[in-house]
Amino acid sequence: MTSAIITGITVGLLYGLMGFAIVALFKMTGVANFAAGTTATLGATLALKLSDQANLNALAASALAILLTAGAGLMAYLLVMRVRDDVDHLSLTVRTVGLFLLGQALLEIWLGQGQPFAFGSVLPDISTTAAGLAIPSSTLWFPLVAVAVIGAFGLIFSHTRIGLLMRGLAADADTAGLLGARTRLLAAVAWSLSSGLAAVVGILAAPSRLISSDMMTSWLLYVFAGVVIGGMTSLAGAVIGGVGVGLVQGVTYQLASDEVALLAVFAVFLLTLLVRPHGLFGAMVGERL
Amino acid sequence: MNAPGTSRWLGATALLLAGSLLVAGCSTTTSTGLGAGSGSAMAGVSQTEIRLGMSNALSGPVAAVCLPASEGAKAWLAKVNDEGGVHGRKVTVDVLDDGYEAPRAAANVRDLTHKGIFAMFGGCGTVSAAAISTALKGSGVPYLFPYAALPDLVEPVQPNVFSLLPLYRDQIFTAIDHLVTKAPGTVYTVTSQIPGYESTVSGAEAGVKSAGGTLLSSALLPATNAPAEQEAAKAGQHNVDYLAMTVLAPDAARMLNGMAKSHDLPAKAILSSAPLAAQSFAAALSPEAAQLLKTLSPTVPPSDPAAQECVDALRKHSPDTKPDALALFGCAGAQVLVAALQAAGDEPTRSKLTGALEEMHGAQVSSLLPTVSFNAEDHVGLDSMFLLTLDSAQQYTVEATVPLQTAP
Repeated sequence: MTSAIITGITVGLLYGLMGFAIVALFKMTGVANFAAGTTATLGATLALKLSDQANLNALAASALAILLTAGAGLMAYLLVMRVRDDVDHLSLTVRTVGLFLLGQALLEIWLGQGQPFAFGSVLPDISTTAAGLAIPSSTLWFPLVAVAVIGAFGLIFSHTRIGLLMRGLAADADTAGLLGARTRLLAAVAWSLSSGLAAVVGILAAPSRLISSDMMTSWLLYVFAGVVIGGMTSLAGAVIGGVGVGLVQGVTYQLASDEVALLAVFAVFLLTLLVRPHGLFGAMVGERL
Repeated sequence: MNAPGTSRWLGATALLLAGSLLVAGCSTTTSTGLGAGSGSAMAGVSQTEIRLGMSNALSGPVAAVCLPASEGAKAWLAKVNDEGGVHGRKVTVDVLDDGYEAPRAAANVRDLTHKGIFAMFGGCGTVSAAAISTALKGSGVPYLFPYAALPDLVEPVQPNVFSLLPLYRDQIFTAIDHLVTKAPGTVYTVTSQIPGYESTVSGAEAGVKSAGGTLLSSALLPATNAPAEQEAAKAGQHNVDYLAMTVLAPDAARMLNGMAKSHDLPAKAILSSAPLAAQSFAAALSPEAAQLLKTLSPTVPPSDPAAQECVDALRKHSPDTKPDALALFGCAGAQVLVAALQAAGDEPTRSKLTGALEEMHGAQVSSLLPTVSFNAEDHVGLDSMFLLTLDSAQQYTVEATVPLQTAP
């Protein structure tokens, strides 16, 4: 059971980081990005290709891949989301489903024969043994990465001008626009940041998931479950929700089966929404009538 | 006014003409329809060409896995054609994409049979194979050597369907019985839920019993979106001696790498049926798991000298295709097909072709395969398979040739 808990936390932290990227974008643009998993796969694929074909070491390839994926996020915004963006958020969210499907098809062609591909960890091996139990390196690294990412985003939001503008945009986009905030520029930055973070998740997941066009597909359902349980507007809630989902999935899988694990996760999901409609940490939005 | 005799003659002539037109009409319909096979044995055969059809996943989720199967077959047939063909006829294959979707595979069968093919050949995947077999049922069009170990294809024997790949049920039974008997221990079996998986699970369980091992658990993995990390944790807690797998290669790699990370790999060996005999799988596998792997394979690995001719054909005719397991299987299928066409004589018919196949007994018709045997009661061609291990460079090598056993 201990190994199931360790696996649950390790996988759950990646669900949480992916959820963090989704919630960060949602808070700033109102769009739930269903293409986040594809973006993560793009990041991992770029790291693989840069490492294999440009002979960069894994760390340099990963750093460059994160920047390139952030650029790809910017292009996705400019070419798909920015065009005719005077529609409601639901229409824009549906566009991300299109991005997801298009991205999957393109990655399938690009990765081609021989999938899945191995990609080693970019983080040093710090695996250890405690009480006779092997603790994988990823289990020790991922919490540190999660804290670093949350801390970095926290600093951006609280100590930079663009971060403050983004918070304004997140709180009330219309008013922020009326007050002179360049909302489209901020949205472009948000898409870049969110895509870069998704690439980080893809690269962290690659050693265990292996790189293939569908490497993140099975995660998407659990990531969104974690996001909704944590609260669509809470960055910390996304991470906590992801870890919770990972734990429930891991433990119930160990005790029963995959079907029961899925059932358990979505029972928790439904229960959370019944008790707290905005998620565990989500803010209730009120409107003056 | 005509005489009464003349009227009767005219009436009879009219009836004869009408009857002839009706027969001609029916013939035209059947010669272009799916029923053409039984009525027109020479469909797809001209003085210069034998035309085959293939439905394969050239796009979609399994394209990367399945595409090499058709490329391998085409490469070998191109080599044969360069050398003059079979009895002076070029052997051509019309390959259509089914995207690993049953309705598209069935539609491809209709298209190809309407065009007039001699036989359906090759392809990859149980979902497509089941659809193709169903679409061809009763047509008499031979369906030869798909990469699918589907019980419904060969049990009971269908006169027009021939398979090279033994059922996963028998593969995993044989792997367990062959290896666990030598050093009995605890066994944990994992099976992907692909069509026919129930018989694979029962084959694995029967193998453990036959080998004198102790079955700890039989786990199932969904065929898509398998929670490999979670299954790694679950399997790892059992501290097993053997892990017996009939699992799709990407999920198997994820699971085994997860177990390696937690130092939870089986103590003695990882036993597998053919899906794990792919070099792309070996490249993705952790070294700790690689040194425990023992997998059955229908073909020798690409590095084996016996594969050289096929590897050369691939390099020449399909240079972008890596000579991996599926490419070699496609190549091997083409070699068996060419041998059967040669045996069918210079005026091949479908019945001569299937007859020639049923006459193959212990035939060494492909350097890639063990001997091939078919008969009227058994349309699975391989009676043995190669047992492969991975060397220190994670390249497959042949450890033994293992006779296939039929699971009870």
